[in-house]
Amino acid sequence: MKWPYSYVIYGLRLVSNQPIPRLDPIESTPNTPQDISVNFDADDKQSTQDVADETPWYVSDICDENGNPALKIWKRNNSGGYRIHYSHGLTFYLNASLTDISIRCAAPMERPMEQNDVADFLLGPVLGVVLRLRGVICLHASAVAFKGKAIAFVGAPGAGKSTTAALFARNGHSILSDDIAALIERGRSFCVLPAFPYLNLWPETVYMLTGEDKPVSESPAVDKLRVPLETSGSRLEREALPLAAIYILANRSGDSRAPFIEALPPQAALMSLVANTYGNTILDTTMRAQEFRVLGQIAESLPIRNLFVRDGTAQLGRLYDLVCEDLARNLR
Amino acid sequence: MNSNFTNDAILVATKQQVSCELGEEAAILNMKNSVYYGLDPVGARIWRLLQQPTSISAIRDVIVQEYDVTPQQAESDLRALLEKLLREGLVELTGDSR
Repeated sequence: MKWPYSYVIYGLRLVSNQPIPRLDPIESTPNTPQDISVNFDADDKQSTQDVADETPWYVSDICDENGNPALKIWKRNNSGGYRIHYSHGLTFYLNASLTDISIRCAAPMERPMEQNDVADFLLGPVLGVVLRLRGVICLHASAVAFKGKAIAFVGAPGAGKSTTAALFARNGHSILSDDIAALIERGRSFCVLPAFPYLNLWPETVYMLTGEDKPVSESPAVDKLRVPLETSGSRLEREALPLAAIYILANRSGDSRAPFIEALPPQAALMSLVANTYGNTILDTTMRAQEFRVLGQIAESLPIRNLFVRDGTAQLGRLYDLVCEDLARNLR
Repeated sequence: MNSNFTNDAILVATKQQVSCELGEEAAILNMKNSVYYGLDPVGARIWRLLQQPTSISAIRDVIVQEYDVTPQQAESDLRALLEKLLREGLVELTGDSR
């Protein structure tokens, strides 16, 4: 069987020729419909396609230690597919219909990449790109389950999305996603699709939440730790849940009132959402217009709040209570 | 941009934008340059009228009827907004109703 491993993530059924670390496999038969096949051994035909026949699609403004852009994406003119290349040696090839992902690893011998590292890129940014190119609106957010609804915590890198999700996990809530909250329209609401059963946490955050000694980061390519939800007594939510409220995280360490919540009027809420969608730099004009319409509907129909937080453990208990009190007042 | 348009000039929202209503307010995305704009309730009302080719005098009359404002003030504010929208490529002149 060419694709012996099956998984569901972001509502997509993935099949793979190798196990994908950290995902829980599902039962499937050769006749089970699949959305995306993942081939961990890209063949030479894909990798040697003439690079002159590619058009630059996106260049990251973040550079590696050698000054090279950490990420580049090309559109492949002949096939209509895409090539996603990370400067440390990982390349992902997407076909035009976004149903095949082939992976090639050319990491230097002195810093070989492990399957876990490849999975981190596949399940995070690469699937993020695939979702966006498939027209799925994605917030740069973590999302947790609260009384059968999804609550999203939106914010820039370092704003505290994963920490807040970890806080809810420790209080018994199941988790929908970390970093990418993929939205699907169902009836008159938007649902958050379940992602993977772990959180991406800084060692300092793990220490802050558990009191355990700071563990060492497990990968040279990524600095955060992958912390299984089960270690905090939580689990991945299995069903897509209707999005019911959004909190925009912002650090206000200098403000003694923090943590506190401030309601956002719809126009300001829309602008905050626009600034915090995932992967919006790769969107073309049509996709951007579609995103704008969807975000407008969300901004008009859901409670959206600024959630001002500050550094340190002292605020965490208060932060959880504050959000729960706000949700109790505002959830319909 | 033609800032000397008459009250009979006909304007309409261009195809190079997408907008959404947010309660009484509205927001616009200019698809040419990916710039976002916000409109207050009066601006949003004018924007709704501009979804169809409309003369300046017709818009002014609606605003005077619906809001507590003199025709002179309404026309002055309206012209200022329309000039901005024209400058940003969000509306265009399509003719003259005379």
